Amino acid sequence: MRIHLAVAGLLAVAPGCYAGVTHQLDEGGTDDSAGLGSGESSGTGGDSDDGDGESGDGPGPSAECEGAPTTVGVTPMRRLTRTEYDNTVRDLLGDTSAPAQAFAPDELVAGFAANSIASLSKGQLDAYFAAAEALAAVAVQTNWETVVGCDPGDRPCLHGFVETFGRRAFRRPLNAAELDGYIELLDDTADTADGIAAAEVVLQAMLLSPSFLYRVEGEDSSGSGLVAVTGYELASRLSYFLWASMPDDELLDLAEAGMLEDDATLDEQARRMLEDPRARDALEAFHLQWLSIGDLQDRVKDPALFPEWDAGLADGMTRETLAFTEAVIRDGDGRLQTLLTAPWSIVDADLAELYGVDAGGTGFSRTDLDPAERSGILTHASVLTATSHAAETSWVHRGLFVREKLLCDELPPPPAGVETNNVNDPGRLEAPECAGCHILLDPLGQGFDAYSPLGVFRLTDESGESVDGQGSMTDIPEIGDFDGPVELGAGLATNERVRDCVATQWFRYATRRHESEADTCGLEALQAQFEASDGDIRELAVSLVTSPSFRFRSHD
Amino acid sequence: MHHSRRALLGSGLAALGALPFLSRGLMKEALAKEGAGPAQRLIVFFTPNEPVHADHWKPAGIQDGDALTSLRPMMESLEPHMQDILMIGEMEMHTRGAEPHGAGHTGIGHMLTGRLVEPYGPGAAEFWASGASVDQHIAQALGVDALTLGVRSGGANGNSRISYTGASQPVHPQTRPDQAFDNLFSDFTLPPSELAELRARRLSVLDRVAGDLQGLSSRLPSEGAQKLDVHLTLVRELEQKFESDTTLECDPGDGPPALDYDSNANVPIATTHQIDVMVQALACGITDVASLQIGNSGAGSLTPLWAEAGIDYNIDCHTIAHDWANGPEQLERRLALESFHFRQFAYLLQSLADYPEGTGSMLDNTLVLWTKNLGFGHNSRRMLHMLCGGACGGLDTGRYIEREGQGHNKLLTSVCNLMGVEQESFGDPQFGQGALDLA
Repeated sequence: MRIHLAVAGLLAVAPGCYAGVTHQLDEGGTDDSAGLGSGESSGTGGDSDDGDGESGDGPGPSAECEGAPTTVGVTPMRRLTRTEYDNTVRDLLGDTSAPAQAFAPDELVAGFAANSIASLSKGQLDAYFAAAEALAAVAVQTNWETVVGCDPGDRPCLHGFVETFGRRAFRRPLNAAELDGYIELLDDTADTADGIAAAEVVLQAMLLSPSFLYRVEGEDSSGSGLVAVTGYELASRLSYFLWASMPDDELLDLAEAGMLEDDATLDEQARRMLEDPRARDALEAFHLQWLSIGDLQDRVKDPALFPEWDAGLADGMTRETLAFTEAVIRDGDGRLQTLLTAPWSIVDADLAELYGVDAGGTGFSRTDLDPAERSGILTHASVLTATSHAAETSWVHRGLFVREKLLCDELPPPPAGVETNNVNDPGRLEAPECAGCHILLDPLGQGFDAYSPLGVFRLTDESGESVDGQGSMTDIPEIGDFDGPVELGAGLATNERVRDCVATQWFRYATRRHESEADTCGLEALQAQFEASDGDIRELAVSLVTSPSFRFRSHD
Repeated sequence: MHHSRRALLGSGLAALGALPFLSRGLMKEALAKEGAGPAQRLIVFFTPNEPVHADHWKPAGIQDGDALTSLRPMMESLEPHMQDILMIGEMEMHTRGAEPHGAGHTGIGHMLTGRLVEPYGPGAAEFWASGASVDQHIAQALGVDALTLGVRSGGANGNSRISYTGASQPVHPQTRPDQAFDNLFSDFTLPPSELAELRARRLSVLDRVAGDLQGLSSRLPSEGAQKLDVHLTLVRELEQKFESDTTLECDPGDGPPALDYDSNANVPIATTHQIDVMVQALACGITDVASLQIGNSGAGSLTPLWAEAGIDYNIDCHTIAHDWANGPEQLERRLALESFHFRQFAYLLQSLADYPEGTGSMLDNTLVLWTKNLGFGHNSRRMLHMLCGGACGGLDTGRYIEREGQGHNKLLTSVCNLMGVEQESFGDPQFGQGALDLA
């Protein structure tokens, strides 16, 4: 099965980056030969690069999108991610054992766990099987009242359990054939064993059913081309987007009543869901993946240089970023600019020490940082640690962080046959086969050199050399040369390409795929709404929920 | 010691072809006595990055057809097994030149499949292989369930998977030897009546699940239906496993202890225990095909802080692999890392050699494919491959052969033939037809 993508166009522009062609600023115009690929990805930036970042048509939809028919990209059917599986069984059964942490890793698409391309692997079926048995056993042994709530001898009640529980497990009512099948399974087992065993096997089977494990859409849909997403499908889209978990009864009831397929209701529900504590799970999943800070525990740092590096510190750094982003988005002004420039964070004593300030309180609490040194997530220890090697910073990775995460630039890998090394090497900018791409990375990453491989601000590096801390972004003239990430952050926070890219990243998280040609106009509208709200991420989430990519599906 | 096999109660040789999870051991043992092959079992062994460079693996002055009488220092741990090794030098992966996606590391998707990859995004690691890998293909042909193991093998992405049951159908390796051992052996520890009841229960659950899969598949558009069809096939295979009435005729022992096998620090002990589990599973006849993948294509998430295993550097393996030509210190590090990899392989060969089987050892009846997806630099030329073991008399080892410029598809074809799975070519035939001349 081949997924049709805008890959070919992207790769076509990439070779310019190889040929040693540095991005010529004074050309202005539409030169995209540096292979940044933003023309495919974000719907802006590829049009003109004359420095003020405007798409050539000013406010309102571009000419090609004005009045154009709605199109959306194809979303392949996906399985629950590990986080989603764990949250779902928590909400379905009250089970917090998190069995999915033992599952095979999730397949990522566009940087977000999707499980939408590869087919199920044999080992994963075994893992699902073991989890289903364990969950069902615990449910009937310790949680019978909440999960089943019947006298084990009361057969009609058990039949009712099949239907009620099934609706929640499948996120839609069971059809007649399914109901018959599960009741037959229940009856057969109850007849040969007892009601408890019967409920247990029903639970096992439902937890193994494709209607539980997959995000199913398009059942019995005879449409081709553009199809409206149905009520129950919308309920799941909403809940997995905003809660990383299953829909609650309110959503299912609205779907059943046919009331969910309405923009006003969707808007209202999205806002309700953002206020709910479960939104925290989705925000965490988004930020762990967008910022690529999900594996700090795995990082190895030189113990002689960084004796303070351990699992506790890695955990603390991760918690800081999740707490901070949550504080901004759920409790604060919700703005992208704040995420990129805030001179405060949510830290504990160890992190306060790392940042060179006094702890704000006990445990994790809001703490003011040095505004000359800190600028939101750009200078979070988590990000700076993730973008470093064991004993030195990485210009390339810090440059890539800004390029990929904040500008949605896709840089191609090094050309085949070229020798590469994984160290900071000024020689790359001298070598013609390297300079074309590395001019976009190394000077940018160097601008973070005043921050150690753990994110500590310093004036001399690990080898005792004094640190320059100057960087440059030659292709964004309003940033140009900058003195460290605080100055960079101020520039990025007001940059249209960054704002558009963050909208794109949320689009990718909501749809779990790369944007395609068919998404161009929908994405453009989303970016316009994000601009109109002055970079309000809560409003962005609500805009997504009422956008065409959420309301419609497309079949190949 | 007579080698152990699971016995199928009340069935004869005639049933050997029909049922899964049944080794062909009895038939092959007879053939092995004739010295005719095919090999009884296949093991694939993968370690990350390049074997440095031919200057460091090719014995000095050796020519095509020569006996192996000495090895380069990097490979000295294999010296006790020179007689068991057919070293194949200078081959290429013809797939690499034709591959538009990604760069140096994409070839890991070609390595056991002989095909170009199937990208699903522009990211370098956003691809899967586009066909079955040789280990899974052979396992399917033999009707066995391949054992796919790994050590710190990376995430679910193209850079991190070597084994596939089909296009975009990666097989994720089991990375915890204690869990792998339980998955293989724990059912057999239950008393028979309890096991029977458990299996009956499981079959009724799977029957219901299969019903859901079939029903849902029929109601979905083709993209979703195809995925569910693959899922249904796996459910059917699991049903067959529960239906086969088997007992274990070997004593697998206690299995490895529970450790944090996913951590970087435990890579050496995880490798040892995975090899132990693999050898045990093969010896007990639970399967005849196994693979072990250490790290992934670049191994950036492995750092060899493994003093107890003879290597101790606080630089990740990917950096060590790239950096080797920049000075003597870097070269020394690089050779130390690759020596470590070869020591693990030596442990595998020794474990097989230590296990008596028939008139010799397991190694005599096994075909081991040692392979990487890189030759030197980031390319797949001037590669090193090794076929090891007796393959039941089908392999003439203790030699070096040079097959300069020939495509690795031919080697994969040879592997199939040596396992008794005859075919004209493996993978995409445009990248190599016919088998490799191993004479």
